[in-house]
Parts: sequence; structure tokens; C-alpha cells
Amino acid sequence: MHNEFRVETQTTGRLTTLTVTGELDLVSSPVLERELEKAYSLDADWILLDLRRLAFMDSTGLHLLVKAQQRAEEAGRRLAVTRGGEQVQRLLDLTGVADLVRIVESPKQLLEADRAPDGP
Amino acid sequence: MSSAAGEALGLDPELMSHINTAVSEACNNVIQHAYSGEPGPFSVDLAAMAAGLEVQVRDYGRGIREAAADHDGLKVGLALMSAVADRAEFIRAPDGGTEVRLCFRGAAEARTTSGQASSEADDPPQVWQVRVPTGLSGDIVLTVSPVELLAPVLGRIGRALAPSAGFSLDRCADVYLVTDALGAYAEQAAESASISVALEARDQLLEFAVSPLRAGTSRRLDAGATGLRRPESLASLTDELTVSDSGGHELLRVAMRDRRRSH
Repeated sequence: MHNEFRVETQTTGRLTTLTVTGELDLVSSPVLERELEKAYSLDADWILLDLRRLAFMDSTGLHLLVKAQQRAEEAGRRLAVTRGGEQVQRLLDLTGVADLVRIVESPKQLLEADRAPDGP
Repeated sequence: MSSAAGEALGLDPELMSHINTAVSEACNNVIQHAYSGEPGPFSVDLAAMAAGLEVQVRDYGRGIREAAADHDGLKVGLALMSAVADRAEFIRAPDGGTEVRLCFRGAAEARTTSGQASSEADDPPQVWQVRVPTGLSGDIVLTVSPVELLAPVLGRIGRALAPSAGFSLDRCADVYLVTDALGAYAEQAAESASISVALEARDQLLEFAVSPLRAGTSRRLDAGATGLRRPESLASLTDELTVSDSGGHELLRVAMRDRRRSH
């Protein structure tokens, strides 16, 4: 069964979370890119891409992640992603993108790390 | 790739995920780079056999080396295909274009140990011998063997092609329903162990032509035969559905339009 692509954006305090469902590819990447652009303008320090419900990602999605990292920095924001499913994580590891972006297990972990004295 | 197809063939989920990634990247490369963003023909042949699962993607556009020089994204796609396949070859074809050959060895082990394909274990490799049935032509011609591979592979190709047709995200969701339905129907109606699909993408139009199907089987082209849940049917999800005779077998042609954009 294929889940329809969806992006849900939620801001809580200093964190804006974009929860991504479905498949991130040529079809859906422009949609996520538009939602990310909106997120950069929100008043939150952190932007978290929650990929836990993402069923599939291709190189289009990888390219988007790398670009999002640069755009977030330009906008004075910090970007993190939650660890995705096996296919998604394998793609991040194989291409080295896993070393370029901050990966957390959950939004809660990111917030806890951010509150720690030495920061995330 | 759907887990149902993988289970039917005895393929493990990791291998299916690799095949899914490779097919997706190969098609993305052709659609985005081989013809500089313009439509152009290519073929995809995919076959599971004793030696493994092999995928061949062939285009007739500009060579892969020329395209890679201009696009970093293409390099990432090539690296991904090389990483997930047990063997990857990128060949500049003598008459122009590029041929990508990918081999997945794990498929053979899975199929042999599952016993589901034991009767085919000694068959000679057939992937390069598969021929497109007469009457099929299109931007893309996909041939798969066995037929169970059709639904997952066609789904990724349809998904890669849908943006070229200018489909909205909502209508793209229907593409998977249609390709799954075509795959389920082909499993019941295919005339042989392999099946071919020609795809065309035009302005807000996506067409699929499936052949060869056994003569007379279109009578069963209802929700039950396609695996769709009523009230959905292939007819309700598509805008045109025709069955014609093509050299003694049936050819099923369906066309999808993006209704939201057509008004």
C-alpha cells in the first residue's frame, strides 16, 4: 500500500517540525521544498524534518536535504532530521549525507540536547 | 517495491528496497538528463532468473559522460545505483545513448532457497532475449519477467514520469492505484512469463499499453481481477480504457488525465 505524500508543519516554542509521509521523489520534492521555504520564515531556531513516516526517498530527496541544510543556515536556522526507515537511512549513509545533517531519533531528543548545558 | 510482489518472488525486503532505488534512479536519470529535459524514448527490461535479477535501462539521448559533466545530481544517482547493485555497468552505446545494466545476486539466492522458482532455476538467462510484442510503442517500453515484478516496477516508473505529464500530487497518488491494478490484472491475464508495457507522457496525459494478454481475458477486467476495492475500478480511475486485438492476443490501453488541471 502506498501512502499519499503529506507534509504537516507544527511549531512549538523554538522548534518547527515538518512531518513527512509517503515517498520523497521527483513528484513530491517540490511540495516539501515549498513547505520548507515557509518554515525558514517562522520564528523558530530549529527546523526538524521528521522522516519516520517516509516510506521511500530517491536522489531528488537527498539533493533537497543538502540544499535545505544550506538554506537553513542562510536563514539563520538550524536543521535536523529524525532517523528515517531502513531505505531512507541507507540512502543517507551510502551517500554521506548522514554526515552532513544532524540526525536525531525523535523531536524530544533534539529538544533535550538543545537544553543541555553544552548544547546539541 | 510492494512487499506482496517481493514475497511472491521470495525476495527479501532489503533487496527489494535496492531494486526500487536502482530502478528509480535509472529512470530519473533518463527523464531528467538523457534528453536535456525533453521527452525521449527509453526501454526498461527487468528479469529474475537463476543468475540473479537483472535490470537493463537503455536510452538514445546524449551520452552519460556528457550529461554527468553538467549535473551533480546525475553523479549521485549513478553512485547510488553502483552502491545498491552487485554489479553496475554504464555503457555508451555505439549508436548513441546509454545502456545501464544492473545485476542483483541476492535475488537468485532468495528464489532458490524459497523454492518458489525452482522450476526455473535451470532456465537460461532470458533478460536480453525478451522482445517487445508487436504493436507496442511509446516513450518508454518496460518488459519484466516474471510478471509479478510488473506492479512495483511500473509504479516507480509511472511516478518518475508523472511530473513530465504535469500531473498534480493528488493525481500522482492515483498513478500507483492504476499501476498496481495493471500489475494484478497482468498476473492473471499474461500470455507468457514476461509482460510489456508502453508508457507515454504528454501534457496532462499518461498512457499505458499492456501486452501480450490472453485473448478473451478482458471480460474479467473488473475490480476483482485488478485487486482494487469497490467502488474503485480501473475504469473509474482512468479516462480511457480500451482492449484491442494485437496479433492474436489482447492489448489493454488505459489513459489517465489530470482532471484538476484540465479545467
